[in-house]
Amino acid sequence: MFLGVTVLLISDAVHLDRLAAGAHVPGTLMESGSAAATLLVALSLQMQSPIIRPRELTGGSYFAVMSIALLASMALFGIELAGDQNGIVIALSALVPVLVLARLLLSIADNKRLTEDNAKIIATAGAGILKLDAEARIVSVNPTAADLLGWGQEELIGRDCHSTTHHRRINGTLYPPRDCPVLHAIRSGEIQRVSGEVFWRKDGTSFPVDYTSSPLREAGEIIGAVLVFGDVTRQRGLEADLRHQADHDALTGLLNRRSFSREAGRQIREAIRHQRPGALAIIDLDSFAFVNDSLGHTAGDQLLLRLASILSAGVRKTDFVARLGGDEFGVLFRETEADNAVALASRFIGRIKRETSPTIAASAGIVVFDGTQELTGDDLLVSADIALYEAKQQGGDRVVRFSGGKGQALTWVEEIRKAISNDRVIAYSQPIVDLKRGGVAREELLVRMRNEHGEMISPASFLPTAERFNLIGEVDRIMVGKGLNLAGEGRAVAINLSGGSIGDPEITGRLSAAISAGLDPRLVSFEVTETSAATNMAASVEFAERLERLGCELAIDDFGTGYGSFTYLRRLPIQVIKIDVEFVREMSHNLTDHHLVRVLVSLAGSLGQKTVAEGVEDAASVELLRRMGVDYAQGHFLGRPLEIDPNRPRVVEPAARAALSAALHV
Amino acid sequence: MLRWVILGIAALALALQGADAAFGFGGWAPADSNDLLISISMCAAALAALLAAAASRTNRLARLAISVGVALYAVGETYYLTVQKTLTGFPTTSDFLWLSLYPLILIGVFLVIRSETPGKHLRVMLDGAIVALATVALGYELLLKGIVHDAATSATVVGGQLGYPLLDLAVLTMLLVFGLGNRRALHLS
Repeated sequence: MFLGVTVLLISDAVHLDRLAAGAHVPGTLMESGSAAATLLVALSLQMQSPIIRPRELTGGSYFAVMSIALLASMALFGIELAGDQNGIVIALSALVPVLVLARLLLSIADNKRLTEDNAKIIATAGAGILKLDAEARIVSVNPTAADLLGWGQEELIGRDCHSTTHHRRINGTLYPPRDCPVLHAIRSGEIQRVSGEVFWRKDGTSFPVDYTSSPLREAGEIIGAVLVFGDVTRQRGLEADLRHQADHDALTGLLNRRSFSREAGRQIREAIRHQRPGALAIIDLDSFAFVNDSLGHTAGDQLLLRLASILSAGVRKTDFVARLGGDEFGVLFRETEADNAVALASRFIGRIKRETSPTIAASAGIVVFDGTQELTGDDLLVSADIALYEAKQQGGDRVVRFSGGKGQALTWVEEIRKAISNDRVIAYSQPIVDLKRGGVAREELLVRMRNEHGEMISPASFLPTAERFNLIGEVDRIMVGKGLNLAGEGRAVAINLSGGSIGDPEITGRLSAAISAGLDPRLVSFEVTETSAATNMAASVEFAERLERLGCELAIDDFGTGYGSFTYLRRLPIQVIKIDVEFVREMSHNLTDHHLVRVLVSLAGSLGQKTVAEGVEDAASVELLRRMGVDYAQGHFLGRPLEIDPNRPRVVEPAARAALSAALHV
Repeated sequence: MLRWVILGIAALALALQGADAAFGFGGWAPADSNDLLISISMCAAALAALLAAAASRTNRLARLAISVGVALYAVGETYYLTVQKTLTGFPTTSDFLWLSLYPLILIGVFLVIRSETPGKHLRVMLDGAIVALATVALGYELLLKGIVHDAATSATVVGGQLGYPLLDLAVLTMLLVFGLGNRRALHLS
């Protein structure tokens, strides 16, 4: 645009010159100037950037430009007045000083308004603001500062800032002026940003502050500082709340596992230093799932609160009680001998049985630390957990003290860990047979473990330990990996998941990645037991919905053996119900089981779910199930669990095939 | 795209007019071709400016004001070349149309300044006006006074036409002053 107007100026000046000379002819080369100017302005308007980016002239540029303009116009005014007395020049040059004066008045008005605005901002600022002189005396105060400090504004003027507001530390000890960051800003000329200190009010109380002390300069010399501070009582309260939440259980308010473990570690170090023994107990209800399933989660929570109350009331102030998760509680006894700790734990178990409604038994595992061993809190928890496991194995409702030696459980833990790291977790498969078509519909993967000597170990031997000591998640991941590989070969698989693995992001991530890479989701089905689903119903629902979105199936395993089977049917989007072997085995000669299976099949059918009968052992059962409308069946008669052969998909056992074939062709 | 085609037409017409004015078309072109090409060029440029202003996302009102000014200026030129043909006095119909460019440009510039320098726009405009007035007075004194003084044709016509370079100078100076506060502005404008 600048260029366009320049061209226009030249064009018009030349035009005027030629016109004055009487030589103007429309349409000449000079006429092109107007057209070129129009074109340039039009071109500048095509750009999306602003037409101009104006800024106010300031500082030296402003004074230089204005001085030249003023002097030039005054000189012209004088020359014209003395000479030609040209009205245009006189008028134009006389207008300039008038406008300069207007500009000056405008600046004064704007500055006044700005000053008032600044005063208003400072007066209404949520932060306290103090202006200090070079000796750190208060020379100006905003109302917020006076309110926060409990002084009148006038009272504060002239007072020494440090001795008025900042003379003691948070713990009440004297705060030497040489260490004071406020004064340091004045001495060093560096901005000081400080948190975690307190300012003191006129009445002698203190409040936590965050503050900034900025040096104030004039002509390069430090003439004081500006102190801006805020009362952070509320933030500190929130931080304390957050810290409390991070260290405590939300339901009971007791310590959580993390902080309990940390405290246990601290007590071990104390025990080593002072040679004083202590003990750690883990107390666990024997059938908490029953309460949750039969009476609901609210009753379960009430029971946990009652348990927390019993434990808290039964310990000394110096002991610690924690909720470690679920129905598992921890108690840390300080300076307690082993026998005393066992007696205390037994007393707890007795009280729990007496004082809970419904009456519920509990078990406890105890470990004693005597200051002779360097242990961590987690070491103690594992040892107490092993003792608790032994207590449960012995039927529950008892206290077991960790022997210190390698118990059976610990041996299994080590064995499972080695099997995982040495690739000795093996996948077996058992065919699930389509009773309406006769072929293998899917293969259920079953976990096995091979020991160091190459012998196969039954899952009943190691799975409880793997679940108890949180190794089952790793085992599940291995099985999911094997299952996805098999599905990648086009074989339909059913993979069992434990409660802890439901919603495991690694498993769902692998599944999503495999499906994204082209895996047919219909080839993958997951099986969870009712008990697993009950462990975390919210995660189970989320997991089931995710599988549904991905196009995979979810089956409820061992259906009918849990406490609230129909709850799962209602809440989980499942596609398959696996009728537990207990109903199927007795079905042919037990009328109740027979009716139960029939009802389950009818119910599943009406809900659009398929049924699988587990534990089918003979041709008669196959025929009966088929007639009842069961969709699929599995069992030794149809196909035993065998180690997976990647090259040979499972087929129906010959005897079963013959029976099925005969039944299907009748 | 359409705007750039129209601008291309304007540029082409202008180039042809320039060539005709400088070298002539050898007598085969119509007698009024020169005036016709100028009219086409200016009207096409004005149309492109109007279209750009209508489609703009920033300073739309300011762009519209300036482009309307450009359009009126182009109409004035076309009217002068095709109907009026001579400057017989002041002000003529063409003068009204030509002169309307300047207030509209100033309105556009004011709108930009108001949006770009909130709370300071009056000071910025006053600075521009002060320097523009001084420059115009100086320009008149040094350059234009002699032309008007020595005019061979009607003093009314010449005096009337004097307003154009003075207004050009005023606008140019103001743009320069606004640009001084921000060097990028000079580059962009």
